[in-house]
Amino acid sequence: MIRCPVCQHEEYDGALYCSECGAPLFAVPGTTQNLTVDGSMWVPTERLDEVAQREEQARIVLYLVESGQRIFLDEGAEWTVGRLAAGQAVVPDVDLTPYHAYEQGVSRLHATLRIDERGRLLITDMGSSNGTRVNGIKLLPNTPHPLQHGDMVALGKLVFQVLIQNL
Amino acid sequence: MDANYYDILGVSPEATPQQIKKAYLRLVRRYHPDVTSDPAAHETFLQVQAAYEALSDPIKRAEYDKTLPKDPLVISLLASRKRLLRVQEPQLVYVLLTAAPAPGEEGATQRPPFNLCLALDRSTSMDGERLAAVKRAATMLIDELRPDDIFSVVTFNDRAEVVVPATRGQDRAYLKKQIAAVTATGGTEVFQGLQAAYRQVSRFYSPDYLNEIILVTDGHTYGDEEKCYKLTEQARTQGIVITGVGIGSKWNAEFLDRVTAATGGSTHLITSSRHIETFLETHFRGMGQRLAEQVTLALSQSPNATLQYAFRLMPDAGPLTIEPSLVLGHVPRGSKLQVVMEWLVHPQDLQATEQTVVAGLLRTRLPLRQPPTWQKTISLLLSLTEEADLSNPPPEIVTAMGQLTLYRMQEKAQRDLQAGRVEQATRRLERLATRLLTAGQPQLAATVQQEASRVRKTQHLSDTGEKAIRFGTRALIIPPPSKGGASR
Repeated sequence: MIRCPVCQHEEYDGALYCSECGAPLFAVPGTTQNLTVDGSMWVPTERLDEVAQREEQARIVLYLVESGQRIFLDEGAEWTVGRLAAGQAVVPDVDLTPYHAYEQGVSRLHATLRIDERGRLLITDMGSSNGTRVNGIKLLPNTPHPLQHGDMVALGKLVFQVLIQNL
Repeated sequence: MDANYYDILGVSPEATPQQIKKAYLRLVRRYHPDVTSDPAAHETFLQVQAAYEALSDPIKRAEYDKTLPKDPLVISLLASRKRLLRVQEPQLVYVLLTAAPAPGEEGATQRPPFNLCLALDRSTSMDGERLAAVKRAATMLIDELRPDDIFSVVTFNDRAEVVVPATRGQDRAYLKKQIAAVTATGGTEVFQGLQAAYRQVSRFYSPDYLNEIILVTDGHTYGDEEKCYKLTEQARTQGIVITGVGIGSKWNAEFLDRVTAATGGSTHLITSSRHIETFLETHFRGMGQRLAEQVTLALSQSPNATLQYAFRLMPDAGPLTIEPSLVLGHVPRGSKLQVVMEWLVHPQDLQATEQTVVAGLLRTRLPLRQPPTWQKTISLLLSLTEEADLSNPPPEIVTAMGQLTLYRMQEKAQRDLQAGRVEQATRRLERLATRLLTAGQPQLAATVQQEASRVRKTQHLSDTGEKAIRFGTRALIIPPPSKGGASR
């Protein structure tokens, strides 16, 4: 038996796609990552603080689960997230181009992260082509959604974990 | 001459010398007198020897090839994995079956004659533009008929009426007058129409004709489904294909899919009456290009492998019925027939080195050819090993299954709804919407999302939404571009 990494549904060995949620279950050519891993690809809850605290000053850390790279958000209270494209006027605050954003289906202006007056971190999908999901649940476009420490966010297929230190 | 040397070795006539040698060594290990004392095995061993002697030498092989009757079709099987795990645990294998015209068979020829019946719904809902469009399409077809075509028309509401009885070379003006006189009234009972049409076509059935019923309807039939399935079975055994045309959104797609798929036909959604003529015109032209009709796969019973699902990718993407028989469809000239199957394999004998996944006999009818039928044994074996197969599955299977998974998600959601599992159906539709977005189908995703919220509130899909999702996900299934792998 193999387990779907997205919805945890069990499938027979040899299944190519999860019959419940449609997620691909085979190794995608060109990546070394086998998608049939069971949770070891993200940071376990007990290690969240340890990973985040490596950079003391950063308030928010975006931990890219596939590559293990981290993006630190510190100054400001609002960040646009997307990728840089040729001839584009608006530059996103967080440019995901180095993390294969285009191949993963990240839109140029994909989402915004914002700290509101009550000190909550909110994510808003900016009407992206491939959508934004938080812990597997798809967000409605242009509707802010609060994020918790340890939430998994997917922009298209690019997945990162949000680590919140102090807001 | 007894069995074909290639069949004895279980290789295709296009097999490379290496493949032939491999197949030979495998058979020798099984049938050599040193290994077994079974007298039948000895007989097989001698045949294998003779076959290998003839096929291992290029000159002898070329000579032997000249004596073979030419196969009209090239069959290939491609599996999603190269080997199975040596464990007593069910494992999935996807198999892509391709039946393509053999070289020299692709070109257009004169079409075989039709033995065709139009079964037209004339219930009240057809009144107006729908019936007018259907009549125009029928009139257009009449102009295309050849003197040797057999043509009939039945109309039905709660009863059936033979408007044009099946005969050859009818007067066109008379046919058109009969069509023009059809008016709409009453309800829809598909069985009435199907039975009347079946009687017309079966009377003149001939293997050299394209025997087909085209059922045009726009309504739900109630209570006569089982009778229809029985009649469908009769039509299939006789060699009659049923094609379904559903107009609008109020007809039962699942029912029509089952009726048509069992005979090797397909069901089509026509959203607007404007498209009826174009559809029928294309369909008739396509009929004339059929090389092989009703390609049927009779599977050998095996306790270790079960066919769970079968779907035709092309021509005319649609689900197939497995019981009581698996009819794959027709092979068009200039294209090919392609079916994807999901097999659940459960290895029992863990000492064995290989496991049969697919084994069966492929049969088909070839109108206007001698001999009029053709058949071929097909089989697919995978080796059993300890280590998992980490190689990538063939891209054509990955693509096909990726698209088919979306179609099957909506199929499951519809089944959930029928069983009253509203919660599950809603969740499934929401997941489908997410997947469709990722697949770059925002419009269809929006429809699915809309229907998901409707289901949550009303516990039902809208008629239009149901058709849009079913046929929308089906339309995503585009045939894989490259040719299949090695055949057996």
